[in-house]
Amino acid sequence: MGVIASSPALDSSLRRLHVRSRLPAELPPSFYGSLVRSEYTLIVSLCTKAPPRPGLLASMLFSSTGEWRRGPVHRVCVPVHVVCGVAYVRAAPTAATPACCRLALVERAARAGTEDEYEEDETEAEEEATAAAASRGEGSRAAEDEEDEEDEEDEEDEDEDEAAAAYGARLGGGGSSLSSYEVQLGGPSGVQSLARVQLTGTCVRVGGAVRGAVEIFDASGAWSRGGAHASVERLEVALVLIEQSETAAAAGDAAAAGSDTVFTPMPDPTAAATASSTVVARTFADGGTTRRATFELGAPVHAPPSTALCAAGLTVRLTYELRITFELRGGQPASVSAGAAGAEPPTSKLPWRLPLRLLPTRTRGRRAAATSARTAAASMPIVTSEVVLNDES
Amino acid sequence: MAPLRVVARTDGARVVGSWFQASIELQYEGSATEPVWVDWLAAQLCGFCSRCDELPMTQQVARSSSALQDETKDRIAGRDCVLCSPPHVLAANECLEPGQTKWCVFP
Repeated sequence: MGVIASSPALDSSLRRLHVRSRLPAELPPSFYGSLVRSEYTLIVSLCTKAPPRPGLLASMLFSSTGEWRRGPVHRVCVPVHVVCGVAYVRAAPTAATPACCRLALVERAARAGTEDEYEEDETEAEEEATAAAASRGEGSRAAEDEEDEEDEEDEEDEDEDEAAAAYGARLGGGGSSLSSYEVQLGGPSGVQSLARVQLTGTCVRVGGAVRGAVEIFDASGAWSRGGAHASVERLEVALVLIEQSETAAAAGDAAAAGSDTVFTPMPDPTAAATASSTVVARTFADGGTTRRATFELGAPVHAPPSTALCAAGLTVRLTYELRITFELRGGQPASVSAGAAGAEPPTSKLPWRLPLRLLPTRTRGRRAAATSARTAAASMPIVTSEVVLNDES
Repeated sequence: MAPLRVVARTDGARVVGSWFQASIELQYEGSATEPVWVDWLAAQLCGFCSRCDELPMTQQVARSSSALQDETKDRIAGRDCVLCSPPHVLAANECLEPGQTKWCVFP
């Protein structure tokens, strides 16, 4: 992609200058975490200059040949948030081979609004894609898309199976659109069922939603725990993002050993190896009368998908989990509760976790990518950066 | 001297494989008495993966030089460059009169 207009004239009344570039598909997503940060920035640099000063004194102080005097470089950094689409290539570029793009400059007549620009860009992009496909002698785009779709569905099925295998309590998976898990508690009187969790799936698209329901067993709202009765008084359902560090050396050893998930602490013992943050949560609290709670947790469009980020030899896996916290009231042995007559029964929290996988946004082709970008842009604020040059001659 | 203001803005997220858009404005205050000369105006798109003990890109200080430099060439421990575009000169040798605003758009 080359420079189309090489001698731009910045005149807003006559024309616009368009500088554009396509973001490579292998870029990791933007992420500002506790262990690692992945950021993109458009850096705008400006350098001013001053003409030779007239007059005898000036010619004595400065150059008598009339040289221009340059000022320092001023820099404006504009954050660019990068979201992964279907085109995302999971192998992130390394520091040795960063992805490259080239800014191109296009001069065209000014028009009102930006919608037309998008459409025109997309038309051009489609033409480029068609030409590229024809030159490669590939089959139809539709067939390619269908193949990709099947691959993704297979991938999602595998993830569902992995989650079911890990938790072993998936119920009603066959023939049903819901994945069902039973939450059980082990106690002196044996294993007791606490609740049933139903989900529409354990793979969610960025920008999609985790939908499901929690059904609490025991119609009386209480069950025996440690010799006394306890009730679920509060229920919190959250989508949690987890950063887990993994040294590059461990990854290499694991690959050599045929395993790809060996986690080791970071080299610095004072640094946290894992960090978690709640992306979105819902709370149900109605004094222990909740029997069935349905929830929908939206995965923000700017959230990174499940992936791995590498920074200076430190690999950090980004994973997600559905965390359901049952807050129980009561349930202590009678001898303990007797000493606190009249006092509120103690509460305790029981977390239950299920790994989820966030897939990149379902965008296919450049037109869809632009649509998704517009959707994403609508959900994010306009970022403005500015620098003021004072005393700049 | 009246300030020359550089305003750059972007509209949010970009999906990989798509175009990004940003706009740049040069605003020269109308109370000025003399024109200001722009030697050059350049843009560069960069991407970095860094450990969190490194300063964010937006908080790093520019070097004291009047030459156009490639921001991705700095070797900083704890930071990997994952995206680089060569610095691109958008305008050079431009004169702004007082009260004039010039701008360009990144679609």
